[in-house]
Amino acid sequence: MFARILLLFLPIALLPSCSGQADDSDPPIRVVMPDGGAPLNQIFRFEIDPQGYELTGVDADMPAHGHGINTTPEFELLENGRYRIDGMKLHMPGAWEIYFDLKAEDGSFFRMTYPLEIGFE
Amino acid sequence: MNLLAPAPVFAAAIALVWALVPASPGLTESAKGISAKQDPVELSRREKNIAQTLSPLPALPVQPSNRFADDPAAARLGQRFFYDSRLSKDGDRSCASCHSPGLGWSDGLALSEGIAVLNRNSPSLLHAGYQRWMFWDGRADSLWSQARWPLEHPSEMGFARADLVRLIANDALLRSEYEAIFGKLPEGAHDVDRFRPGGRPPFPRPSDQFNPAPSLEELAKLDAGHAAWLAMQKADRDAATRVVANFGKAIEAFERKLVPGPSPFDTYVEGLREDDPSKLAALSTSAQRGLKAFVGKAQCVNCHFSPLLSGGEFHNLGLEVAEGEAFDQGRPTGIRTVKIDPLNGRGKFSDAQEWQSNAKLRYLSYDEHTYGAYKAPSLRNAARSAPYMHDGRFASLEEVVRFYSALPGRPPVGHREETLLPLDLTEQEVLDLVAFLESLEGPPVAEALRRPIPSESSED
Repeated sequence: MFARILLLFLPIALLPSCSGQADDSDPPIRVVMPDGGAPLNQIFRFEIDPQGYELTGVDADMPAHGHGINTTPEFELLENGRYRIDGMKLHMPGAWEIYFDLKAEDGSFFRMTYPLEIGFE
Repeated sequence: MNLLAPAPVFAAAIALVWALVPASPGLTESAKGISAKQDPVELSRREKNIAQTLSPLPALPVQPSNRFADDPAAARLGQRFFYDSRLSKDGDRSCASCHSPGLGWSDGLALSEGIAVLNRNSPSLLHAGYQRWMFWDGRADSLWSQARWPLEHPSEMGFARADLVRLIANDALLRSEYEAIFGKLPEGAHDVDRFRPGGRPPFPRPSDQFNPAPSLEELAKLDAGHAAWLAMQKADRDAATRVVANFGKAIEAFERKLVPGPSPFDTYVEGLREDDPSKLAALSTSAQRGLKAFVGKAQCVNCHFSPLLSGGEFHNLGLEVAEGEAFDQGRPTGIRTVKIDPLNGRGKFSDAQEWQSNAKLRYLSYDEHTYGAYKAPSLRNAARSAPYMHDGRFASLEEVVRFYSALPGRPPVGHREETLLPLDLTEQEVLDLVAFLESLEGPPVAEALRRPIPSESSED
């Protein structure tokens, strides 16, 4: 349960990782964006360190606009235990949320929200 | 937080700046944006930063699926094809009929007229080489793939790829230029028994359990062109499709040249970077106020961003359709079509096989939010390509701006994008936005591209 509470605050703790400066001390998963952060309107690839959780889905939304992304990202578990996520495209500037669907060891599922701001270039 | 959400402090700052702007000539100022008196409009740091992301226009993006995209010989052949009215069923229409250089590379009509009246407005070809998706619903992923749709559509040019093979084979100039670029025409290219008159396949059509696409055999009973296609050998069908793909690649090489020079807005942005008043004066006071609204209050830049003044993606604006009038789904049909198109960037006629060049197709998907969405066009040189919207419903840029100000009606399918709220613009703000949009017009492309190449000419 404590881990779940931490998860709720994780998005705020992870914000600096937009520029690739992820903090290793942030439990339970870590998002590693490309250098320079997530690009505007370009398909990009990034990684997460799931810290033992299983990644079961990735999606994103632009809540203020009432729409999501127009790609279906794919993900792959790497030998180093990270997941590589391909095919994400945040096609407008503004506030986005990336969603990670995760499965815990006890078999429970939950969704982590990762907010990020996409600028004009 | 949405960068453009009008937070109270930001809104107050805009209001203050607006109030402090020296009195303008008001409604008497030309909406053309040319004013004898250039009163500079103060932009916030954020507004300046956004404005600078809109200019200059970079070099054309690479086009991996067409290795001839920047080949001058291919562009020259493409120009020949573009103006050649023999490439139509009745010999009276060419690509230039709906994309006329004198009409902003469009046709000036609300709905284009080919052999029949179509259900779409003809988009300008200016800056086409920068586009990610073609057509208002994005059903083609390259200019070369796009080109055969109007060529073979029975309501547009009504031509056929089998006829194209024979036409090139029988024209010494076209044949020599084609073969110098793409290699030999198929064996028997003259032969009407192999490349049968009117022979063309059906267009790719999405199929599902509720609306299964008819088979070629079924369509051949209804359409003589499909019957001719069915009667051709598979190897000859493939060869004809290779020729029409190469035709498209030459057209694309030509269309990539249709890039006007810098606009007054580009000069203005240079002035912002260099703090040069003489360059800042390239925009009238009205156009500067329009820019401020474009990146601020009006939020136009949410969809019309980057130097193309478009993200190249698709949005539901909530355009109403009168009861009983036809409408379509827009983008979802485009997505389903481009994914199964044998001439898309992942097919065997594409010159790109690597992952990156095909990523846009590989990951492309749609959901309920794409229903009723059409492509956001580039606003560069838009002043020359009226009327506007996918169905040409607005005769002028002013009508477009007034639509966004009031946002009347509801869309027939899907939902209007939720950040689109009525702007309640003043009359002056409407004119200012129009003046800004008109400042995005650069000089025409080179005269040599605006006309057919004389057939006897061998100049480069």
